[in-house]
Amino acid sequence: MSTSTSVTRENNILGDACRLTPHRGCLHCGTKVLGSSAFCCQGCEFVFGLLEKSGLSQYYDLRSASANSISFRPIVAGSDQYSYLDDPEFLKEFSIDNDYRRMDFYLEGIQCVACLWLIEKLPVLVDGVISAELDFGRSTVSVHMSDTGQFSLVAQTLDRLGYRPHPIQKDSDSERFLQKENRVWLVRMGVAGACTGNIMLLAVSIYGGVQGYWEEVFRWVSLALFLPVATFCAIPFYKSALSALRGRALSIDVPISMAIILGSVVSVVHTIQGSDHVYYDSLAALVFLLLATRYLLRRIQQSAMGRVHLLRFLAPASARLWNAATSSTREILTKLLKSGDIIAVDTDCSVPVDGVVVSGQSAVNNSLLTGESFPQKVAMGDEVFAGTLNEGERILVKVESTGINTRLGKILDELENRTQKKAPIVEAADRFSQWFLWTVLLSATAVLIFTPHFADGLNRALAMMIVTCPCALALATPLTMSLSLQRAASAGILIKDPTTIERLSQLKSVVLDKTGTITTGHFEVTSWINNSKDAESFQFLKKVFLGLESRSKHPIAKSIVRNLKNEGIENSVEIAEWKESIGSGVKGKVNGQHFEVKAVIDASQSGGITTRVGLFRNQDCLLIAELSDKVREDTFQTLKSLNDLSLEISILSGDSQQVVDVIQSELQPYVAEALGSKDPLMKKEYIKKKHLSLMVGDGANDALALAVAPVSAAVHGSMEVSLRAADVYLSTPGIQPVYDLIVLSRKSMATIYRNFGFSLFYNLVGGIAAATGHITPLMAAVLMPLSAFTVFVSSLVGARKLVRS
Amino acid sequence: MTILALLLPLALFLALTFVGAFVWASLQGQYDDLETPAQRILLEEDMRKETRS
Repeated sequence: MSTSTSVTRENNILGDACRLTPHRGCLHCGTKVLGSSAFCCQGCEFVFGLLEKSGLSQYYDLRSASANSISFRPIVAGSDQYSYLDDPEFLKEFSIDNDYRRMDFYLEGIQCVACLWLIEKLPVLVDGVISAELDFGRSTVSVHMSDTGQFSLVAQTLDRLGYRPHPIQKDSDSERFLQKENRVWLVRMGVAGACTGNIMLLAVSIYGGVQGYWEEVFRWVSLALFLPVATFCAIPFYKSALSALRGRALSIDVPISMAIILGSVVSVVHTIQGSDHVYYDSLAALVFLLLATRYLLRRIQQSAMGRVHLLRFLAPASARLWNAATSSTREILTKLLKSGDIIAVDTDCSVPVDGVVVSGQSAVNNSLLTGESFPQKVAMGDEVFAGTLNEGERILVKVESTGINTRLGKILDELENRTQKKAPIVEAADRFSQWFLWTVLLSATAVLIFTPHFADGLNRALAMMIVTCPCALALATPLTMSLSLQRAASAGILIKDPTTIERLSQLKSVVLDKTGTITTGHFEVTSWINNSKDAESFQFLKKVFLGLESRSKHPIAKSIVRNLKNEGIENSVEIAEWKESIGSGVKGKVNGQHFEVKAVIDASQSGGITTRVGLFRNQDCLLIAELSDKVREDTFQTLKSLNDLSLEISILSGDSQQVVDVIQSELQPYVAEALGSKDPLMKKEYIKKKHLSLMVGDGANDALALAVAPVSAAVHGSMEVSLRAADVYLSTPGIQPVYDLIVLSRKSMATIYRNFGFSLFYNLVGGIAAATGHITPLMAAVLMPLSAFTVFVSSLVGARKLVRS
Repeated sequence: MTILALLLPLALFLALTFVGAFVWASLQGQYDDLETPAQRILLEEDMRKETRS
């Protein structure tokens, strides 16, 4: 290897370019544009033109009015024709009503009110659309079509506008069931709230000293108002208590149900007897508050889960069926493919099936399956697998298996089974409440038995039941949990299940996947080596490099072109006699001189982390581009922060040990262990042995490990696959959210334990006072909401701290 | 105090009416999506007619 005369970091060059060329924003997306064009790409230009033509350019005013912090991306329109959407067979499964004129789509990229406005203007943009209604929270649009309209046109338009549509299968019974349950729950809450308010008004009069006839009437009216609360509204507690008892366990709902039932019975008896010991107001308030907190938790959990749920109903991808007679393709649902069919897989499309290449040469990125970041060459006769990405040219593939019979499908199938078998973790609140509930029940019984007079004993036992009603557990824990979930969701972290928070707070170690997790997963130019002996301009050589590479479809070439264009290098060099030979590089003539771009083979570098591509003139190497899968910028800082939390960090990778060693040395001293050449099964075995560890990974090759790990997080870019296995989905790239997540969970648990401490103290004092007859049930009923209020405030203060962090 | 004989049933009737309205609205699904309609109402409605003509 010749000595390098100058090594320039990419950043410096970028800086230079910025100073040389003034930047303007693309008219559609605001991305920096170099040169005289008003748009950054054709996609943006098309959208701008379309909106202008249809009189919808108000969109831009709306957007600038509403979006402050949202960044817009250039439009990357797919080439899909979506013709399968008009297939009667498809409509039968996916349309919402029976005459096939309604369909729901999940849309990517819904951001602000301008999107809402634009999408609901679909009737203007597409002929035949009667109405389009967007659900902002779920990012779904419901399209109603006239008899003549075509759904494929709707999907194409949405795609061009930058909202990639995914049809949602109508058969989502669980979804509809959930919706119905939410509505009924809301009704319960409303009824309980209204009745509680009215009972309280009457109770104020009673406490205020209403006497005689009206006192009696007020009590009976309170009873009437209380009946729906004790029956209809409290049903969820009874149900859950019953199912807990059937499972021979105590849940928080058991004492709640007992308190409600016992309190109601005693109150009704007292009402009939004309005595003034009735507790309708406090019992109704208890039911209302419990319903309200649980409803809150439900909604927050569901909105976090919403997107995850929707993915299950997404349509399977389409494929392009190859017609050999006409040399053309036609879109077809992957599901309808049979083995033996020939399909075409274009550049940058993922392979939809397992099969064998029958024509064409290309490079396929297998990272989803194997974790290898380097694309592999495939040619006729080679096998390709579903879920891998074609980074080279179009290939024709003979279908061998589809759906769950593919390698990816089998992994996913195994996952679903495994996730269900995951050992249930006992929550802190559950453990605490089990112990607490037994104590309360036993002491209440003891008080009832050992107090000399039965009536007095009943009063004391009831006072005790009410005063020790586990509000801290029943109200504060879900409240803290839901606030944490919400906080996480607003930071782009989706948590599937609140119990995850507790597990996260107990972590001892973090296991990270390499490709795509701590690195970007893409090859980028890390440095340039200028070898030219004469004073040839660095910029000129780069222009030649760009000119030669820009016509190649090789993934490495594309990456170099992207990097050069980002630096502001213009593709202005005339290339003559351009020629690409697969496997060896490209050649061309510039100003009569022969140039060649090819890989630089260097024995000392083989198997290493970097790839070198050189620009040659007459066998003289003039310029070398070094490419590698770069470590993300935030990784180092995050690892340091994680280390500060005294977590042990290790790296697992499917890449070779050599590559992993380089990464480890780069991230010294924070990585305790770095293991390479691990296939999915080995990863799974490794993680099984790790006690209290968090697995962070992506892709199907990590999915098995994610499923068996005590806690697992899937990083950006692998939603479909990893979410089935992981507990947490990080929708922003990089591992910084992992740190935030752990801090958040620790703080939440601290708040919960503080609440436990408080309620334990309160219940101990109150319980003893009640057992010794110092507190009447009436006083207990006043104290109960007081304690609940304290715990409530404590949770909110805890949550405020979380927000500040 | 006899006025209570009129006021109490009246108050209860009023409460019942509102609870009934709430139950009806909930079951109709008016509270399913709280986000979108709040945004939608801020947008102009005239656009569609203009472009159709």
